[in-house]
Amino acid sequence: MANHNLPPDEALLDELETLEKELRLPQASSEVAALVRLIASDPSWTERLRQKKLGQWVVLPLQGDKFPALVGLKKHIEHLTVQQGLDALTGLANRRGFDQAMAMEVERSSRFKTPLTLCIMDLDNFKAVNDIHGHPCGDDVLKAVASILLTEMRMIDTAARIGGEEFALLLPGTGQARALKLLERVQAVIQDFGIICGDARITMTMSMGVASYRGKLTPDPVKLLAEADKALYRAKRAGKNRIETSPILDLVHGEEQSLVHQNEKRFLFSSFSDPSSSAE
Amino acid sequence: MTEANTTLSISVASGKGGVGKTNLALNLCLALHELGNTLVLLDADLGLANLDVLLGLSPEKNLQDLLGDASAENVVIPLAGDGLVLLPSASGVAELVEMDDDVQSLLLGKLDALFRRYDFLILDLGAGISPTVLSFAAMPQERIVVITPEPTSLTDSYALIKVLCTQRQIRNFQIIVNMAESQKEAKNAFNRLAQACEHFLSLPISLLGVVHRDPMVTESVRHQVPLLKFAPTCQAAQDIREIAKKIMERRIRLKDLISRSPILKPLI
Repeated sequence: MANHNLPPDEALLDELETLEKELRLPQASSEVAALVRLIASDPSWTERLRQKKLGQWVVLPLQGDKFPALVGLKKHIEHLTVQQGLDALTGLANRRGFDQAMAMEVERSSRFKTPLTLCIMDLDNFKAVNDIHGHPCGDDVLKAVASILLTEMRMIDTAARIGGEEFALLLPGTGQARALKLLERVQAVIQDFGIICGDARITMTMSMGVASYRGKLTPDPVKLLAEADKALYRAKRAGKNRIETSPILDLVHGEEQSLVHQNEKRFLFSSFSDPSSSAE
Repeated sequence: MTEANTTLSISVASGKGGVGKTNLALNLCLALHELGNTLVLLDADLGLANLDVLLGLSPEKNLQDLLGDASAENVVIPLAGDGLVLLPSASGVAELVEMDDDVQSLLLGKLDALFRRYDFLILDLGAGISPTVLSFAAMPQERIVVITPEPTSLTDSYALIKVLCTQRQIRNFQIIVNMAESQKEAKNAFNRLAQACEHFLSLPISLLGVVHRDPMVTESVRHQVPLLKFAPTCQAAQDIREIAKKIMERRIRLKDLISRSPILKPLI
């Protein structure tokens, strides 16, 4: 490569700006890719990109001291990785982040025989908020709910936005009875919380569906999610602003059934009811 | 830990309370001691301190003190000179098996050196199938399950054997039928239990001995004097001596096996 120190190419910056707009990744995508173009190097490129708010573009020199740029690249990748698990609007975990947390907590519950509870919640009549007050107002409502969840939950819990107005709260080490105390509190706080939007004060309610494992069986995440969803559906159908629970998924399991079965008892007692049969 | 182990460890368990297990464990120790063996009797009956009561003792220290500065030698109480000592436990037992792996290994480490100096370690377990009982039943080399001919005793001891067999993979059990009216009644009870174990668990169990019902047992408990001292020649005392002889022979016969196995198997 010729060693001319060309000034930053304004045309290239324009091109990048256009690319940036056209290539903006859709929210839901979890893919990361790098577009690579080799250009004549200039130390001011990093600053130029920052000024133009083209922070997604990274300059990586191929000659001289690569170290600062590699550190920058590493940070950038880490940031992207975290961002991938987060919902851009609310800052809660997104579906991807939720799935990761779920995998972790299922493993933990299975290893340490601790309970695990999942609550799927859905804002009641959210579509009306968007229709009546507009989408920016709807976004404010979603952000307010997110901040309530983050405030009410414990450090070890995971709150996620897994759909438009659908949230999930994953509560490790917590059985259904304890989870309900927390969820009832969340429900009450949301109901009491008024979101000011223009002239309007919007109050919201939340329907919740809860499913739990006691820590006796390895949780099945698909089943846990399905059962919580079913319970949520029941909550909606029963009039909204309610919490419905699904039957605890490992309430009765092999080891906890009666230790001595009826046939074993009959075997042990046959000598008492029929002494002649036991003579050796 | 280079020297070969010579101590035979045996837990004495029962599915049901009130079958005379603690009394039997104590008198078996006395009988083994009469035969020239040295023994440690570990009271693993959590909190109930039955052995203290049977002996009219109120120990100042127990297993829990081993977590502090106390050495095992400071905690043991001589019952018949240095040849038969009691290790009282009280609440220390919970620390040993239910608290955590670290505490357990610390205590077992402190106790191992003590146990090694004796021919036998006998553990008197609580009744039932609590996690503490199961852990203590699983740790020693051998297990004695005390039953009586009563139906409820049979069911509860079967439950104990079943849970140890299925959950802890333990397959060696010896049965003592206590409070038997007759040899026939005892055999009948044992056979039922043995057949159930064979049929449902594919587990052979063996009859170690029979102790006949004897009014002297109740009398000795009332006087807080061990049966073997209170009524040395009564039927129950003779039965217990018979069993002690078998256990002693067993230790000699299993010498090689004992030398290769730890006195108490860690549960981790």
